[in-house]
Amino acid sequence: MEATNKKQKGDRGDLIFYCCLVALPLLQVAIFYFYVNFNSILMAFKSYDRLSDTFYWDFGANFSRFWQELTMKSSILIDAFKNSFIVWLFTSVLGTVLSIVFSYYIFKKWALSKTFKFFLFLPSVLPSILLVIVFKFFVNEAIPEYISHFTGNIITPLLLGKDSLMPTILFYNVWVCFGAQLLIYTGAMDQIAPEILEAGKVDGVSCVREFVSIVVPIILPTVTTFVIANVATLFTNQANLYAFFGDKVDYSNYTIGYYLFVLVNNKVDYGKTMYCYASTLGIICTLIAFPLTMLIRRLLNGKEED
Amino acid sequence: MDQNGKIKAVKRPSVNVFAIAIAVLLVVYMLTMCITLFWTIMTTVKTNAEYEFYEEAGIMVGNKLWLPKTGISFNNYGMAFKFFYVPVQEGMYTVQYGIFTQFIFSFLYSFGCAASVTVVSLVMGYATARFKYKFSNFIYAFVLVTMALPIVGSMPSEIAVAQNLGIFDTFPGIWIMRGSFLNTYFLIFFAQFKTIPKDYTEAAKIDGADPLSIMLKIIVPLAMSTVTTVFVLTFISFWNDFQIPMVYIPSYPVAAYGMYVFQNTPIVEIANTPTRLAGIFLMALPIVIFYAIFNKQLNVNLSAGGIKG
Repeated sequence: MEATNKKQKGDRGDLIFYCCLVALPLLQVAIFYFYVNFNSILMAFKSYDRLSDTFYWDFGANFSRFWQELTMKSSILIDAFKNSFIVWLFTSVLGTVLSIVFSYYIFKKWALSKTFKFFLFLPSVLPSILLVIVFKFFVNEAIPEYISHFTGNIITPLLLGKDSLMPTILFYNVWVCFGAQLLIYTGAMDQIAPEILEAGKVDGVSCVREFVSIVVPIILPTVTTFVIANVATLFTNQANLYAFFGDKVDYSNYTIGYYLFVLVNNKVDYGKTMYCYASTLGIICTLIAFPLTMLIRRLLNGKEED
Repeated sequence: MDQNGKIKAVKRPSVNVFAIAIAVLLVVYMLTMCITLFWTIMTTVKTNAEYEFYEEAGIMVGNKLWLPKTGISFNNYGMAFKFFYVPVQEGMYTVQYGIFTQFIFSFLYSFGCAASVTVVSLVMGYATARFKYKFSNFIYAFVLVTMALPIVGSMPSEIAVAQNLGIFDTFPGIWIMRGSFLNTYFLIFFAQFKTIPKDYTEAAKIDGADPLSIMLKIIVPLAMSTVTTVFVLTFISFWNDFQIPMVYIPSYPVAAYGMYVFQNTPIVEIANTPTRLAGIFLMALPIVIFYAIFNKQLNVNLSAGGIKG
């Protein structure tokens, strides 16, 4: 009897303790996840009045603006959607493939693997703004000078040329994207049982075969998780454009993430007037990204089961 | 030939083409990184006169490519230190925040946010992993869903909510806003606490320990290395961030934002490439030192525990 009472008391104590632990974090999520996103939906149907500093209901205004912007000649939105997709393709797809290959090299502890790991991880430690500035000066001032010195050809600084700007930005974004992925993939590879690799070795499998047929299938769940989480960045990735150029980027080079940030942050020109339109744009992008995420998830999970 | 006099087949080490191909890519990558950083450091110790107007055979060409020819000068660092400030509009006045104040703001922002993310993720990871309530399963599933569910463009709403709550442009406000458990760190803590055997808890309970003591004195100390790693990782990422502080705490310019302002500053004395680059290097020093101190901790722990989806 006494033991039962003690157990019940202990269970109740555990429950109270549990409630105390989760209460504040849940309150934070209730406000800054649920309410913020709910308010974001409401704001999509509102407009801002500068004189009274208030938001008022204005059904459809932001959506019709979106439609106008989408269908106008040389539309910012079309360019932004296109650029967002290209940036995502390079950083998520090419970046992921290279990260897996590099991780395998480091996992195998081949020559200079520690040195390579240091350099691949370096961009994750240094402030992105530092790397952006260093890279910007290097491609704009040093590279044209070196080319001119060695070949005699005069070229436009890479971030100033209309044709070279986007490829240079893409190169930069891939150049700095390996750090976090490297840690995750080498971590996943470290968990592969050594007996599996040993068995492969005994059977005489080559490194390529070991990589393609043993390592990649085993770490596929980790890769899948990372790729699915990356779909969310399709419309939030700014491609470091703000760090490179502030709000002075040519419209044709906008990404959706950059456009949203500029709409919210450009206080001088817009103040709060663009908050509602930015919310509308955000909701539309969410509606596009959500099914896309589900589709990619289904495709990858199918592949995983195969 | 072996001890029995038989000729032994000598196995030649096979050339691993795959490894060589990856190594070539990695060497190219490393070289691009080294050359860029070396060029930058070399530029910071040149005078602007040499960088722009160096004369060779009577022709003014500027020395942008090679090692300094007129000697090494650290003057650029001094100039950058002197002029590294961020002007902030406060009412009718403009206040200028210098290099040390920016470091203090950076520290407050990074330390506070990193601490709140780490503590909240740890607490929720502990609660969901160690207490077998149905709600724990729900929380775990909810975190997974939110991580895969892409919500775009909630920043205006978040700013509006923060302004209504009176926490916009304050340090406690940004600490609260960032202190969420909807992240990978929650999953790391969850996995870590799940692997610790229940026996520890049971034994402590028999000895009369209350739930708080069990958590703080027995279970959390076992996960201290993970706690440190998560804290270091988040600290670095917050320290390097300039856009979030720029939007949410505009009155408190952090060092990363200072770099952004510095590269665009119109002040004549420092509006040249060598000084701008020197200033940027100067501001990166604390985080490089921080990384050097915690580098080992960071690599060991994360390599040991990969995330599985």
